[in-house]
Amino acid sequence: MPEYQTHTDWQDMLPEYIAGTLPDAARHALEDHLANCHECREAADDWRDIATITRKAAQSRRTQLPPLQIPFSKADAPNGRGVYLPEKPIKENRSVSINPNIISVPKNKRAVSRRPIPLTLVAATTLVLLIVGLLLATMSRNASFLGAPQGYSVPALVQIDSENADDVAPLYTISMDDNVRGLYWSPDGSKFALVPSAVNVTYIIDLNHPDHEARPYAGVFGTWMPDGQTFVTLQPDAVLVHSADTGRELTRFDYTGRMPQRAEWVNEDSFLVVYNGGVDHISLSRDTVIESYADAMEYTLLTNEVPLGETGYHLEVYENTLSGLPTSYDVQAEDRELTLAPFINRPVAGLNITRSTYQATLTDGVTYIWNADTGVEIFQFPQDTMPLSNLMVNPDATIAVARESNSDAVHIWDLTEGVRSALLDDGSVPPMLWFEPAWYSTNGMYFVTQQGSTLLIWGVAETTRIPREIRLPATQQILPVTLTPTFTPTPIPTLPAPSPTWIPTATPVGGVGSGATSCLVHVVQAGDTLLSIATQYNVDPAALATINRIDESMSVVVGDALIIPIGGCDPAFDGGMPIHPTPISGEGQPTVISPADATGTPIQSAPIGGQPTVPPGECLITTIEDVDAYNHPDTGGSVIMHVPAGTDVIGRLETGGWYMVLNTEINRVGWVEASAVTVEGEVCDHLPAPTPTHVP
Amino acid sequence: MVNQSPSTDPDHHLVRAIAQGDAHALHQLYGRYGPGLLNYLAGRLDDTPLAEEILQDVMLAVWHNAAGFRGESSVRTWLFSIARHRAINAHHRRPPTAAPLLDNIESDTGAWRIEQVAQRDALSDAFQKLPDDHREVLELTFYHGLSRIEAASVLDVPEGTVKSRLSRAKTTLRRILRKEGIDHA
Repeated sequence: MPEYQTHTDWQDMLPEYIAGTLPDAARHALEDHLANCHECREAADDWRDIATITRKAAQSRRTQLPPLQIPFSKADAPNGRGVYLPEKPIKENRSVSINPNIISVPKNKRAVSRRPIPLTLVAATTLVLLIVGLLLATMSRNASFLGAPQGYSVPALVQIDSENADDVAPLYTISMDDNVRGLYWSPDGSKFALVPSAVNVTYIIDLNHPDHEARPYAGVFGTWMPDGQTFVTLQPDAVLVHSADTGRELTRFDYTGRMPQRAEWVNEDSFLVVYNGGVDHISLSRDTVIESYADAMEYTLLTNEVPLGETGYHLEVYENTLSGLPTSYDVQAEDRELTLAPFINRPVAGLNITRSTYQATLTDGVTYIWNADTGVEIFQFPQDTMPLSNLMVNPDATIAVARESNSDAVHIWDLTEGVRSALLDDGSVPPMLWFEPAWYSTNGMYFVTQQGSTLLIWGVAETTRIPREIRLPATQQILPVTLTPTFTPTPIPTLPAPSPTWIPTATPVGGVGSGATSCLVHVVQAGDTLLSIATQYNVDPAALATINRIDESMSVVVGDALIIPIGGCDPAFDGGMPIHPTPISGEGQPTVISPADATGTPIQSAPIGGQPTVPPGECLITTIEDVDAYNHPDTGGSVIMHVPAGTDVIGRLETGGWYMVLNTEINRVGWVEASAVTVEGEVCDHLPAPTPTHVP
Repeated sequence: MVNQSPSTDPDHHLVRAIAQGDAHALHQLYGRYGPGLLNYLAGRLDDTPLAEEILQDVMLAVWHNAAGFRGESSVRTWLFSIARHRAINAHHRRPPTAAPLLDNIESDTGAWRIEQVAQRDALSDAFQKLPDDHREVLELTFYHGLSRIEAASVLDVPEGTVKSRLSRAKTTLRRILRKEGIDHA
């Protein structure tokens, strides 16, 4: 009945016609039709009446616009991340009732979301986790010890006479040419996942394994599963589940076009995946998505420790439609009433974030450590002149670790004896992690500091007493980034124009003189495809896909850096096999592009033999204020670098008002919004997107 | 066509400015859309003070979330969408009110006494008796001037649903009026 269909279509257009919102072409056509359709004209009259009464009804509401009452403080400024920031960030407290007289044990000891979304992390960190002025006495002998909490067995500690600095040595060192994006301890604390800043690789380091090899896995670390063996990594097109035990990839979920962003375990069997457009709940045993929240973008998992056999967690999902506003989904909702111990009114000075069993508070110059489950105060430290921060208590409440706010020296306290058992003052600092502030292992046996580009793993408990020999000596470094030389500019002494490099290229592997490899990096532009890039460099698309560990059929992501397998480029990265810290030889010559000089002239590109080429569009720019640099030209990306105000960076204007910048101080590349920088000279402006420099 | 592309919608500049912390731009946006949003909220909530409160929430959400606005829709659509979510959440927090439902209308025989009213007043009265989702789509279309696509976006339903909801609203109006003995149309 085509005529009837047509007639209905005309009728359906009438409301918009009367409202004046019908596009011109459709309006003209409809008017032609109305001229010959009596029924339609009548219907149009009906709609006209309805429109009139609708407007009348709306106008009858006498509303007067009140003044805008929004506190426009800096703290309330837009977060710039494209994620709605709840006004009350601590959603966990929403159903919390505070009864100062009741002490109860929360059902879930680790109720704190372990890795909330970045914004929630910021908010929660601000409110709960960040330690504000913890003043912890260092006069250990004066500390009054109230005894170990009930219900805990206290293993005998090996007494550490570590006031002598010579006795103190880390258990392990891990040298890197890159900063660490994240460090994630396994639930049992025997392993940790290390994610370098610039590449989508996860290294698992098993401290109990005799070889102490760092085994690489594809993708950025997502989450450990509670078994401490299984873990999840994320790739732009897939979610991978691996076994740290066997090194095998257990399963893979296709997320082509969906850009998985985070993963979070829910229980022994399942985890959540937050991707660009929704949240999935995936069961490992069923090997499938069991719940799906389409149109959800971000989430806060309020409770993610659910004892096996019990059900119930609460999932806060932020809709990803136009509003980005939060909608709360109760998934087998468990209205857990958390009753807080009486110290709640004291300012929280520290918190063991991996297990929220212990908290420190500060009152009248006295630092208290509490068992948050029982409300029992287990330790007191009188105030001292030495402010400490980041107090952590191990799961057995036998050890507390804190660091001095001023010097970054680490104090280790033996809570069973009430003495300071170790003082590490070797100049190392807490690791500069972009995400997980996991400087203390979940089992309380290790903590991590950083000295330059070296991560130091320290042991604190009986089985890992300090000092111990360095198990990974400097000659056998784990070099996560050198193995995949993307964005890892490293000074190369033999080069005429040393770092910083604009497009990071070569990195010495295994030390200078042992051979070096050269890799060209192509930053994906709009319109690029794997095939077009391969054609551009005359390389095999399959090889290009393989070397970058992406699926040949998958589309490339604008802003991603692809390694171009030419000129002897050998990332020495072969499908998840363990990387042994041995020198890797390569035949190619490194390519280095030198930065602009201080006058803002275009950056010269100088391959090893000279012959500079000039990539267009680059210039010296200065950040106006502290800015975040993202891993993509998109505020929805991850922050990979904080650029302090006044930093000179080398920038290149990208599409959409973004600068790709190289922070020459730390040799890191990221994307910042154009509004956040000033440009010296005009060379950045109005230049076409640069093509990667290719040195034959 | 009301649905403007990001490049032509001047409000996108405002939102971009807001995203960069420009409070003045927020005030501008508030001045431009606040009255309409307030009216919409008041209609949904039937509670003007609450609507004013929710409007502040909406603007705070805009302030916080401007950077996330992708420009895939018109700014107006985005704002109404936020307002709608806020209204729904606020509505859920309130005790249920006796909204006139279609079922009530059909089962009711003569409970309504409209005395000596002109036809237009009868229409207005009938309008108030429409289910809220019918009134909402009518208002978005005829008072706020949203296109079908925009209304669908705000209501978070397919375009076809907007179409059918409008059509049902018309049918329901007619039925109500017929009950009232006013054979309009």
